[in-house]
Amino acid sequence: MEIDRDLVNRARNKDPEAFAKLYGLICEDLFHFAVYMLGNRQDAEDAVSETVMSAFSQVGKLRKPEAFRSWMFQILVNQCKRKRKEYAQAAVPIEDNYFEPAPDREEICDLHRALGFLEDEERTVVLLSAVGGYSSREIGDYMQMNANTVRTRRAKAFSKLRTLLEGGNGREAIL
Amino acid sequence: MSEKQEWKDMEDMVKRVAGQEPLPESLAPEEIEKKLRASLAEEDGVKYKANKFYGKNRKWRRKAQVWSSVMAACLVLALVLSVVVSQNGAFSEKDEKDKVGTGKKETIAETEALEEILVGAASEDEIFDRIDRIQNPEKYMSVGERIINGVENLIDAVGGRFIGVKSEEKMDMAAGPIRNGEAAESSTEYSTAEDTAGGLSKDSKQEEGVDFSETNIQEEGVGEADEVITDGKFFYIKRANKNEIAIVQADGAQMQTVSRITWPELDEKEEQYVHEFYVSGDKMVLMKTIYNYYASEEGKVLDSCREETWVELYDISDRSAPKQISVLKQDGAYESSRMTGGYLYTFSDHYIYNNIQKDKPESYMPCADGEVIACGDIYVPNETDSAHYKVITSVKLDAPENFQTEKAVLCGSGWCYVSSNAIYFLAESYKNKTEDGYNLSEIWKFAYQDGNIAGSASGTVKGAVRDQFAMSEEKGYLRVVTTYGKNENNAVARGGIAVDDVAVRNEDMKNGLYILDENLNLVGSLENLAENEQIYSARFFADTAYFVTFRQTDPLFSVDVSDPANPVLLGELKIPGFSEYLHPYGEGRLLGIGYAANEDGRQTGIKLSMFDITDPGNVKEIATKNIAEFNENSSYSSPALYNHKAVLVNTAKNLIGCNLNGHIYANRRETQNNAYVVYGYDEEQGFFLKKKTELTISRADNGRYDGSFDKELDKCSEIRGAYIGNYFYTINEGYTIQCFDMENDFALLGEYEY
Repeated sequence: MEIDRDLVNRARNKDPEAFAKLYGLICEDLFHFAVYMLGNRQDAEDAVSETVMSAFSQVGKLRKPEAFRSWMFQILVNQCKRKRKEYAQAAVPIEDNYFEPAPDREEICDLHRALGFLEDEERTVVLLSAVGGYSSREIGDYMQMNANTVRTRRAKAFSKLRTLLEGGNGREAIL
Repeated sequence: MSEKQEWKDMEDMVKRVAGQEPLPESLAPEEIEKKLRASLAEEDGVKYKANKFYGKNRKWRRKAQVWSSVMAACLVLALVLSVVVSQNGAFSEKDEKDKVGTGKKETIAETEALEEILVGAASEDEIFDRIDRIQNPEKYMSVGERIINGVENLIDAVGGRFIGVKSEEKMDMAAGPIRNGEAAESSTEYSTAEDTAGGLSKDSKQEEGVDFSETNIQEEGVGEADEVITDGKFFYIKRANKNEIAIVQADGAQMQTVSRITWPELDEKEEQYVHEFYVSGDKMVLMKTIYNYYASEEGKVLDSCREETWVELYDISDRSAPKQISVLKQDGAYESSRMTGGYLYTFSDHYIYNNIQKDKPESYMPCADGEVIACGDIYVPNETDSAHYKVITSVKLDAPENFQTEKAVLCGSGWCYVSSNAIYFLAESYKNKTEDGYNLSEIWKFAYQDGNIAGSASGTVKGAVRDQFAMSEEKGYLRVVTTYGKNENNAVARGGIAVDDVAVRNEDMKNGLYILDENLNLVGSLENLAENEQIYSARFFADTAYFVTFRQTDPLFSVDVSDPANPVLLGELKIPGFSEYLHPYGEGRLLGIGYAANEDGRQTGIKLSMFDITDPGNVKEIATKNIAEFNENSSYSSPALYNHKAVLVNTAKNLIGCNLNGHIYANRRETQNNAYVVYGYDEEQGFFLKKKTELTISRADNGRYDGSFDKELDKCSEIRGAYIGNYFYTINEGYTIQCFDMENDFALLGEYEY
């Protein structure tokens, strides 16, 4: 992604307009990552908002302009991790039924459910790869993993996803 | 069908379907802009938890819960912990006799060599209690506290700001997965301070009579590990993106891989990562972290990542057949290590997750050598809100069957600095503040000698440090430069991009220099320096401290620290740009490596600076060179800016070497340039290029990443420079070694794909 260095520099100086413009270039990717990571629109909305505010408050520290997108993703990955942790601790029951099947949302719901069957780590790899467009090396950086391992996990996770979405028994089991 | 094709269509499908999810209105860029403006307008900066931002009721309640539980944690800690008052205000004072072992081997009689000032925990119960209070504060609330808690919930829920802290973040600090902050640091070019073979291979060096480069270390005689090491005959290289160490014989331009140390894939639930290593004579010691993601029975991945550091010793007397001698294990992810006097000291960070069980000490106490560390060797501060243990071990290289000493301290996560006789951990407190409301760091000091380690003091200092170079010990005094601010949860100087949910407002920042005596009592300080700026680099000499702050211009401060009680500001040189790393370069000269910047503070390149420090009160920048200019399409970075071990400096040979990574984007093509440059310095002509070796890879940007570039990217791995005699080598950690003739204008003599 081509990043306007001037825009980044203005953003670094806490210019809301510049920051929002930069954010605008990636907002959909961020939201799509969060919503499929968390399986919940409201929480995804919160996660992205919090990521933006957190990033804005420390944007002065962004050293490499071209790292803006990665940086935002990194913060978001951590945000999502926290929310997943909250879920795991079951402090908050997930009450959102937004993903109930609906005629025009079948595909979306299927994907949500299938992703829900992946381990958190697999889901993260899948989404960073598909939505984030990141290489195994970059994903490795985010997740503190060796790039080769990421490749193995990624292949495995997508294959699992295929079984869940297309395979006979696997699909029946979840849908 | 290739692996890639097999999943490629699935990836496309995920991307396509995911893209159908509409963006909520509140996340539209114009809405976000409004929020950003609002947040700026709020006078109290970080507190953006206004109604407008968290408009949803459901959300509110959740926040309130977390908020209150943390509040409760603070209350409980304050109440309970104030009961025990210790001699130095931080550790519980217990009679030695109260110590109860846990079946762990006997503590080495370290009192012979080192006097232990701090006293370890009395019993497992005490430790369990402390951890439990951190993890489950509500259990410990009295009825009265529950009521207070309820009232606060109410206040919070109606939008009041009862407590001036961002509790949510504190909670996260206490309970979040351990790798968060670290992952962030490492992937944003922030390597933690680690170690080297420097000073270790001196014996063999003298035998051989060959001059070769050693790892760039902070403290004379205290070795730090590294990823690429030479002993004058061989290169030892940790290969990029692989758990492999290659041993390559180098005889001038004749290079030959003689062996590779590799590890079989672990169980699929485990992950291993080789960090760095030492070579000492015929021994190699390497440190790796094993991540076990599925340790808990419930399979809750994020709750259950257990990390373990493995210290592996190899006999490499036959370089073509390294033999593993021993593997020692300690809990926690590897952080750093030092090697000195024939001993290795290893530091790991062990985080206690929520699922602690009283009848299982290993669930709340760290293990080493397969056993729970004895209570008496675990230091439990009276006040802590962190469930991180720092685990410290020592092992004698000549007796590598067991750790000699195992210690642990329950403290936050932070930086480690090791002088010739003491280990310091400095961790920013997420709870405590100075009386005047600034953030502070806690310091733990451990004396060490011949493998024995003893806790010797604890103290605090205002602010937080940038890296290990912000600390220095001289004649028993610890000198520290910090950046401090009044923000909640501020992790001001954690370095680079603090990719964590930590909000920092530059407006509050100031900097200070502190001098603490051997008991870590403050004896002298110099404060209120460089308002709104933060420290980027520091270097201490015996009597003078130099450090650089930055916002728009770079003041290089010089401070006379010869009288610990009375540090005196000598000078303040203002120049554009700033240095990320400072290194002495011969008599009266200080080399800076950092960024060039224009008058607006905008970075314009990577630059070398030479400072004349002959008169510390009148420091001058006598030469400067922009070695990688940024323009609208390109920018550069260098590992030298964040990892001192990536820098090669030799004053006698007049060598300044570093790796430059260029990233160029133009005409929908992405190009990466990976170069190693060697500069020399001359009083007359300033910096001059001796050699630049580079390779470039490029791809069309078709909007997304297909994985086929990964192999090419290996060529863009970090490059280290080294010399053996008159040969200069550049070692690309993912690709090849090049050999140059230093006597003949750095002519390329050979290249070898190892």
